[in-house]
Amino acid sequence: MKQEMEFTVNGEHYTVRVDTRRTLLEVLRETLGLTGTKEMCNKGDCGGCTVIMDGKPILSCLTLAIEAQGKEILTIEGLADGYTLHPIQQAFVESGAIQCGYCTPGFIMSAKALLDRNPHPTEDQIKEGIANNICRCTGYVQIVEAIQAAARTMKRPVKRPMKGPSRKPGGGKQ
Amino acid sequence: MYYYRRLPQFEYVAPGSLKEAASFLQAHPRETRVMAGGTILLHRMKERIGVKKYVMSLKAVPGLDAIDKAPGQVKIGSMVTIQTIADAPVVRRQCGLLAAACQMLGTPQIRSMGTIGGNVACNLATAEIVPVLIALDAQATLAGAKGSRTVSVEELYREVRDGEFVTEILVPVKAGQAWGYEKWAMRKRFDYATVSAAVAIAGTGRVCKDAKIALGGVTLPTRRARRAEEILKGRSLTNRLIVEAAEAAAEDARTGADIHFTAEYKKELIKVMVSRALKQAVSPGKEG
Ligand SMILES: Cc1cc2nc3c(=O)[nH]c(=O)nc-3n(C[C@H](O)[C@H](O)[C@H](O)COP(=O)(O)OP(=O)(O)OC[C@H]3O[C@@H](n4cnc5c(N)ncnc54)[C@H](O)[C@@H]3O)c2cc1C
Repeated sequence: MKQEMEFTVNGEHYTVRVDTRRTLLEVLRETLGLTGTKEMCNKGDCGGCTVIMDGKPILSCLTLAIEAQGKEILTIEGLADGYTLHPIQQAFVESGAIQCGYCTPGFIMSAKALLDRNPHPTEDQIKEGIANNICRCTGYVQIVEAIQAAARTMKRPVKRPMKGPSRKPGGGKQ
Repeated sequence: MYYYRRLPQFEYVAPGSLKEAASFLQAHPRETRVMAGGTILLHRMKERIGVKKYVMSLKAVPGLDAIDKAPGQVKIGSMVTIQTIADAPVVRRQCGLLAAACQMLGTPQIRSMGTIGGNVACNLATAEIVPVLIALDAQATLAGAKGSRTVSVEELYREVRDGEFVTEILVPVKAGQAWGYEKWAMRKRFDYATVSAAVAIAGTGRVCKDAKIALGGVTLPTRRARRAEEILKGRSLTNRLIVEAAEAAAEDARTGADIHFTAEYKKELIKVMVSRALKQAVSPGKEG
């Protein structure tokens, strides 16, 4: 049974016809071609398929795509700003928190959800925040360090754009 | 056991009102699986366990995701997620035991997806919120063809009939109730409780007027540690009495071996969990 649905993924609006028995993971990867979200255990244990839906971390392998109707989804593809990595991605690179890289998108999305909720987590809270994610090669020490580093970077006061037309993106010559 | 990547064939229905949901379920009671968060249901369907013709999602039914304070109780809609309950100020203030147990369940993802209704209705020994709700004397509202009725959570599996589904959990708020909760899991931030103990104590000072002790990780249908409760009633909760009650709870509990632990080992764990939970309850600041 196919049904039409609309949702927003990484700020882009999509209207797709989906089979109602397809998971959100399948539709992200196979229909939208967003293969950054990984299929690993496909049963909720590994966290590789974690995406953020309306601000909350969810397992896309245990979510029917049709139930994302009207929702806002954020996947790993939505984090970088052009060629500038998101601070969490940058910290994973710099801390050596990536080896084969397959679990990385899931870890980063869990970390993003954690830092959105709690910008200054303790080490224990970080471990709690990534408890649903499994890494089989680097181990977890560098991953925890990366999230600590990202929290520090993200804590720095963001430069607010000054008021006035000259700071508009794309230059401001009048 | 087989595990498939894809879900099997089924028809998805998402009624837009309680009435519609009740009449759909009434019309197809044996051909329908109710879906809340789907964390258990979709998992099982990939294992091809209990697959039925229809999956009726409750996501579009309005009003099932609210937490309301009513006189003497807190009402929690069946679709409220575990994380929302753990975070809700009214639950933290009035039902500290429930908030604590919700925060200790599963992982951030599971808490964001899984609902209290799904936990209560799944009829699995692993459901961690059930013993907590039993210790708190909570009730569940069931919707069916002839309107709704309320049953105690403890009796839910015996009471629920084909065509009925859970719409609400009612948690009584008792002034001066002290509580304790202990969960023992292999990986403490991820795994289901191998065993858990939820206790709620009514009384003044250390003298116990009433006690409810419910266990997780034990074989259904019994969750209550009734003999242990009787040992405590009307007595002062000394360390010696606590150990006596914990031993009774462990002795009476029905445990089963799993791939990690023997039934006897789980009994040992129950003894420790019950005694720690009781000690928590008598320590200062554990009221409400
Ligand atoms: C990785 C992982 C870790 C987990 N860890 C824990 C844990 O630590 N502790 C724990 O207790 N659980 C755990 N769970 C199990 C589960 O996620 C929770 O119990 C959750 O609360 C179930 O709710 P749900 O809304 O997802 O249920 P669903 O999967 O939607 O439903 C579960 C069952 O209840 C029925 N049902 C659902 N809602 C209703 C209703 N309103 N009326 C009637 N029937 C209904 C469904 O038909 C189904 O049979 C875990 C699951 C996973 C995948």
